[in-house]
Amino acid sequence: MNLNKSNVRDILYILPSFIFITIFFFYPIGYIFGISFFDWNGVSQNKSFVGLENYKNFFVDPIALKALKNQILWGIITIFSQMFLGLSMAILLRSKVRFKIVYKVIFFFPNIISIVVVAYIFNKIYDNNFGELNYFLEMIKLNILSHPWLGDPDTALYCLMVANIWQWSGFSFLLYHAGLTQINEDLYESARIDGANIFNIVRSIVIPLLKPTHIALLILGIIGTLKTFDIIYLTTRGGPARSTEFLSTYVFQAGIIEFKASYASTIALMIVLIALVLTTIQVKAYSRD
Amino acid sequence: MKILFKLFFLAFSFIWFSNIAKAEVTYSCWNCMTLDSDGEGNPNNALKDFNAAAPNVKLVAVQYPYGDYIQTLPLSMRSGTSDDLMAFQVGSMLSTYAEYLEDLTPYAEKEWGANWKDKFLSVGIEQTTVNGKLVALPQVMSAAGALWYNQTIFDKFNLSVPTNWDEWISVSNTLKDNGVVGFMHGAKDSWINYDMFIGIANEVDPGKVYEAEAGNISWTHESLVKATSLWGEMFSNGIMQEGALGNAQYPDVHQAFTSGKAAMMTMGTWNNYSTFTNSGLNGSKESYGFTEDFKYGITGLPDMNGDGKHGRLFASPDVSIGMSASSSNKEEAWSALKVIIENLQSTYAKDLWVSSMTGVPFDLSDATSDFAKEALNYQLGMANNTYGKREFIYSEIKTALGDAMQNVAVGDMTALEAMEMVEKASQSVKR
Repeated sequence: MNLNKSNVRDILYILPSFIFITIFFFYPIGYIFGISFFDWNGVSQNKSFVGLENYKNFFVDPIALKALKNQILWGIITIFSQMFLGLSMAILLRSKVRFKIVYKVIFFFPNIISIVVVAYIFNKIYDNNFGELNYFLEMIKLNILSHPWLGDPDTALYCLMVANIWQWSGFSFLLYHAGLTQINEDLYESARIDGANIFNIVRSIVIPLLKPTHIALLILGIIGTLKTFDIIYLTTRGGPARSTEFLSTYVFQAGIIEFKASYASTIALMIVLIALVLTTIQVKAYSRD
Repeated sequence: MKILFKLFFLAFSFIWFSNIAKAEVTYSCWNCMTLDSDGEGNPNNALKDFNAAAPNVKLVAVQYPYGDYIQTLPLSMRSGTSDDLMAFQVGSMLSTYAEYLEDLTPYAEKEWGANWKDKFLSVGIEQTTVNGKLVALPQVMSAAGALWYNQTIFDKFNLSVPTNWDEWISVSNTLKDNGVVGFMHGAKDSWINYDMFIGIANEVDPGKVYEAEAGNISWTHESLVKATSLWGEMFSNGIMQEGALGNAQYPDVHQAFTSGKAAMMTMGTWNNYSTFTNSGLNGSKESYGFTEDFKYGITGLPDMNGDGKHGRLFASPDVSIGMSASSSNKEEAWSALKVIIENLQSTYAKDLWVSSMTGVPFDLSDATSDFAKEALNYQLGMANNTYGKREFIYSEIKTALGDAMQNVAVGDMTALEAMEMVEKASQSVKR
């Protein structure tokens, strides 16, 4: 390769970023890839080579598969719910309604609350014996609906989804609100003249023209889903009976609590792989359009 | 000018050399037992007593939140940059780090003679010895498996503290019908579930759980299956509060019990301070927002094997302290460790910790009432007659048992299926 002055200069420009990415991305990925072929507790000076054993174990591990299923379900429900609520709110606030700024603040406010606070609040709300939700149901004579929300494996995950949707719909609203301002008002006018009602306008104009926003929210939503750890750890810790276990919480449990660093590395790599595949698919779909 | 310079030089040298003469020993911990300083640099109680007992040693204790501590420890150990002294939980944690820790046997023998073990509770030393090597010394003990009860609530409903399984069911349901949580349990937390399981298992057939852990019997032994079955029944027969799997022992259960919303809980000696001392209870009252003075009592778990006696407590060191094998000042570190372990037991006794050494009673000077003193003395009697330990050595078994208990609690597994799962994990352990 001919290294002329221009080439050397280009290399020097990208070198700091390259070094940074190598140290904080490629090296850690390479490291955990390496130790995923061993049986190692993450502490000992000794480790034994086990080849693909950890990967085989992952695909037959009922907890890992349950965690993956939980995470997929979480992603589908929370992402689309947040998008729906965010878009609905953004459209409603484009109409002639008073105190718009108040609604915007109320809708966006949960987004800026610390996740620790959100977890604490919802832990209290969902408490079976002393929680506000069951207390409210009792007050309106609907005791029959009282339930151990976070103590029942059939409801715990969905209850946490509610917390997540409540916290993050404001972010979707913000992006959709910005997106709506980019749509030419004349399009609405023309549609109305052609006899379109609000639903026709939303379906045929708003939703298609907001495609870049949809894609952005989908990508961010998937990344967020794969990274979800704190709300789970601070509320149910993956229980009851692993019903709210995610791959991210399972990595922590296996690596830190159970001293299974190699297996935790394997799980972490699976998360990276899933993220890469999904992001590639989305970016390609976006580029094609 | 020259005289001033000489005076300055002398003063500087004096200060510098006096600091060198005071050896610095570093100690990292998640529960520093007040051996650290507060946010403004003022020494907490145990550190004050340490400084008085060891004026030539400067102890620098750094407290970490538990989650941060267990994440930073592996790196510091492997890189040889760990502190001189470190705190550990016995069981899988201590076993895992044992290879990086100094064997303290020669130090103990030199300090206390050949019969040094007689100074300690044997159950503590057994659990800080890994493969014949004394890798840590127990600082204080935690004895679990007790039934804590609110006598004020029992008096209000004219009930007696349950002494057997049937009474436990009956009392719990009666309290529930009267709008009070009977027995409250933080089933979200694996650690308290292990305590409950060991307590039940030791009641049903003492010692079988430890034999299974050692691989000498199967986890599907009938007594362990029965213990698991009893555990599962607690979630449907009215003993446990509804939604127990959604509650944590701290703060949910502790708050409900201490503030009089729940009449019973299982707890251990580590909780004594916050319930039975004026200073601790005032802190609880402030945190939980209640003012009433309740009478809290302690007894063993109700009789489950028909022998007419309540359950016995079982104990493990709450915190054990090891010395890094790569420490560059081991003699000074041992001096500090010896003071922390031996000289400060009376300090820990003021906070109602069970001593790891023999013959150290509780200091009841800050106990809330005579009723509290009675309860504590009864508890100490039980703690001096413990059977077995709290902590499991193998993380595989801990994980499987934790899953098994939750699956039985939600009805996804029978007791036998759950124990089969634990046995499978047990067979994978390299003993």
